[in-house]
This record gives sequence, C-alpha cells and structure tokens, in this order.
Amino acid sequence: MPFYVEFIDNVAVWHLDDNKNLFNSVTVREMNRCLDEIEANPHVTCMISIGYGKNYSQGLDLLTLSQMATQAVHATLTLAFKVIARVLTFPLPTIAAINGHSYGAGAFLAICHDYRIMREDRGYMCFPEAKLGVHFGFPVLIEMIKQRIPLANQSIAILSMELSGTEACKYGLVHETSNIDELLMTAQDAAKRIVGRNNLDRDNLKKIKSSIFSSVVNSKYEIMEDVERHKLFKTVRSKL
Amino acid sequence: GFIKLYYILQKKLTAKMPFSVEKRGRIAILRMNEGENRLNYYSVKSILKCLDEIESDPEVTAMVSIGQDKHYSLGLDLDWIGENMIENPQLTSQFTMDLSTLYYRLITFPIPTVAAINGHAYGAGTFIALAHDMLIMREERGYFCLPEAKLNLPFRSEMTRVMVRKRIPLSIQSTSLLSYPFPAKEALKYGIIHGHSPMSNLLEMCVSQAERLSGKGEGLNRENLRKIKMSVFDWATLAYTEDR
Repeated sequence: MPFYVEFIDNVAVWHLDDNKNLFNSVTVREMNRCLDEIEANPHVTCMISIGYGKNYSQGLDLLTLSQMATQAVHATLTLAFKVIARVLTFPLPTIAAINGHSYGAGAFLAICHDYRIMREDRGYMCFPEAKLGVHFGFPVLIEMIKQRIPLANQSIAILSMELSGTEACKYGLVHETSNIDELLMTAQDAAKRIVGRNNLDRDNLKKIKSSIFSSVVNSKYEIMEDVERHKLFKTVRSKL
Repeated sequence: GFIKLYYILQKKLTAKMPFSVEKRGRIAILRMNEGENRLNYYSVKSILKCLDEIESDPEVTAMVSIGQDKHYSLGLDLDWIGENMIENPQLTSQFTMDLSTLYYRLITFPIPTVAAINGHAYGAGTFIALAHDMLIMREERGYFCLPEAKLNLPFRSEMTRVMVRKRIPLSIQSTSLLSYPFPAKEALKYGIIHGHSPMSNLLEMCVSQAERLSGKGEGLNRENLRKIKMSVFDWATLAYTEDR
C-alpha cells in the first residue's frame, strides 16, 4: 500500500510512499483511510506524516485530472482539499516531516499540520499556481493562505517562489529544519515535546481547532475560476 | 544625427524628472529622486504615471522601487497639505483619494514588486513600502517608522489602517503603532521586512530578487496574478471601497 500507517510508541507515522504522492480520486480515498485508521486507534497521541525519497507531495495529479470531465474534476478537487482541511482540524497533534518537494496541494497539506519540520538541504516548498497561470480556484485554499502563512510573507508564497527548507523556515512556513537522516527522529522528538504529559481530549481538540480556523472550516467548495485550469489541463495533455 | 540628439535630449529630460522608470533587462526600476520623496498631489500623480508606464510595457516581469540617498520616502508633504487644505480643498481631497489609489494599485499590481528601502521610510512612506510584495532595506542606516502617534495624528484612511493589520506581523503591530523607529536589523528580526543589504549592494540584491520572482521567459501571467492578489488581499478592496 503506497499510503500506510505505522504505530511507534503511541505515535502514528503516516507514510506517503507513492512516488510523487499526488492527489487523485484513488489516492485521496487512501489518504482518508489512513486518517481513519489513526483516529480509530485510541492509544495514539500524535500524528507524524512523512514522504519518501525526493517528494513529500507534488500536489494534484494534473495528468489524471486533465483527462476527466469537468464535474469529476470538481468532485476530485473537493475531496482533495477536504482531506487537507481534515488535517488542519485533526483531533490529534499533527507534525509534518517534509522530506522533499511540497508543491501546490502538497504545500497546502504541509502547512495544515500543527508543526512542520523540513529537510534543510534539498527539496522545495512552492505554491506554483501563479507560475502555472492558474488561480487557486477554491475559496478554502485562499482561507488556508490567510490562516497559515504569516501576513508579511503571503505575497512571497503566492508569487510561486521555490523555497528551500531554510527559506521556508525564515518565512514562517515551517518551524524547524533538519538534515534528512535525522528528520523522522526530529519529528519524534517534537512529538514528545508537544504531547508532553497531556492527555488531550480528542473531541475538544477538534472543537478548538475548528473554532480558531473557522474560516477554513466554513469555506465553500465551489470553484471560483475554471477557465485557466482548462488551459492548464490542455497544456498538460499536449505534453503527452 | 537629429534623431540621436532628440533621443539624448529625451533621456536627459527623463533623468531630471524626480519620479522616473529605468529598465534593467526585464526589471523596471521606479526611481524616486525628489529629496525626501514627500507625497503631495503632484508626486503621487507622478508615481501613478510611472506605474502606468511599467504596466503598459509587456516586457517588464517585475518592478523594484527605490528612493535616493538618505530617504526612501518621509511620507506626507505636510507643508503642502497645510498650504492647500483650506484654499484648495478639492485638490487636497483628490490627493487623498489618489494616495489610497496608489496603495491599492501597488498591493494588487499584476507583476511582482520589490521595495528597495534605501533609507528612511516614514508614515505614508512605510505604507508605500508595505504595499510591495517584498521589502529589502538598507542595512546600516535609516529607520522604518509609523510617526503618526508621536506627531499626534490619527490614521485617517481605512487603507492605512488595514495595511497595519494585514501587512505588519501581528506580534509587532502594537510596537510599530508607538512610533518605534525600526532599524533594518530589527525590522528583519520582527518579520516586517524580508531582507537587508549594505547600500552598495542594495539595488543589485533587489533586482536579483525581482529576477528570481520573474521566473523564466515572459514572467508570471499578469491577469492571473492580479486575480490571485485580489483574492488573497481582498481586505484591500474592502478598505479602498470604504475610503471612497
């Protein structure tokens, strides 16, 4: 299974091991299944997500999406962004161990974790929408930008800058950097620090997160802009 | 011969103008060369015209703005406002609207913008800087300051108030309202600016950041970038509408 959960000392490590870890209708179902599995385990006190190799997640599966009908695209995107929003209000502390590239939806997934550690020497975090000539499309993504990216650095993020671990840390998109060999261990240490001796009630934590990030929770999943996305899909298909 | 002379003359005239645009490859440099770069009806109109010039050039992929010598901009031309407030109320109120327009245009500019804060940025000068995407300041001299409190002045427009709320990091907003003068190192530490550089390298650093933001070839699609900025910075549209 490319997406799977490993339980280590009451910490759920969510492995994203599907090469580029792209979001499509199949993978999104897998991601939700993993999150269900984590939530169903009463002993888990924290969730760490980690990719494999060069990629944390390169975002939406443009190739597959470009071959789908409009309504199916919209439905898939809705599910993809709902998974990300689910992480934002997850009833457990969440830590992203960003081992490599986090692009587009992959970057949104990363920044929706409570605490983020990124590989310092390789891999970029990037919101490529401006570079690709498309809009974010869904109001929920705009809300995530507003709620998760420090005010003074929102401009930089939306200009599609490819941010190294050090830069992402400097601009407040991630909290720490680490060399790749120690990444999971650093995340596990962070988990210990963050969980401490607390025994956080899950329902209450979910309520708390949902109330603070209510603008994301209450966002609509109607698409704002579609014209550019069609053009992008055309470009993707033409490269086949 | 004659055409060359005409061209040279044009260049000389433009160089003498206090607010002008210079191109370095794909990057447009908005030069503010009027001493303290104080803002009055005429200087704001000039800057807006420069923005028109930049926007109408399809080759430009990013913009850097820079002041002169000790000053980026010291803000409002209080002398001019004092002289004209009662005698020319229409002119003064047009100036106020134009200034809001300037902030709004910069915030939603369809190309990336970098402020090379070569010296003091005070009051309206800080808001011009804050309206840019990226702020890089001269390291060794100059302060970034909101002097309204110490001058016993309020923030008159919703546009300026919302820029404090939405462009200055939450944790340092209160301190900035106390007219605290931030030198570059502190402005960077608190996340108000994104980088600093010795004066000798400031423009180069800003141009190279602008190049980086331009990406490859023709740069970011402008219409799309404008739409993105207007979505994420929707607060600017609300404030601008309120000020009208």
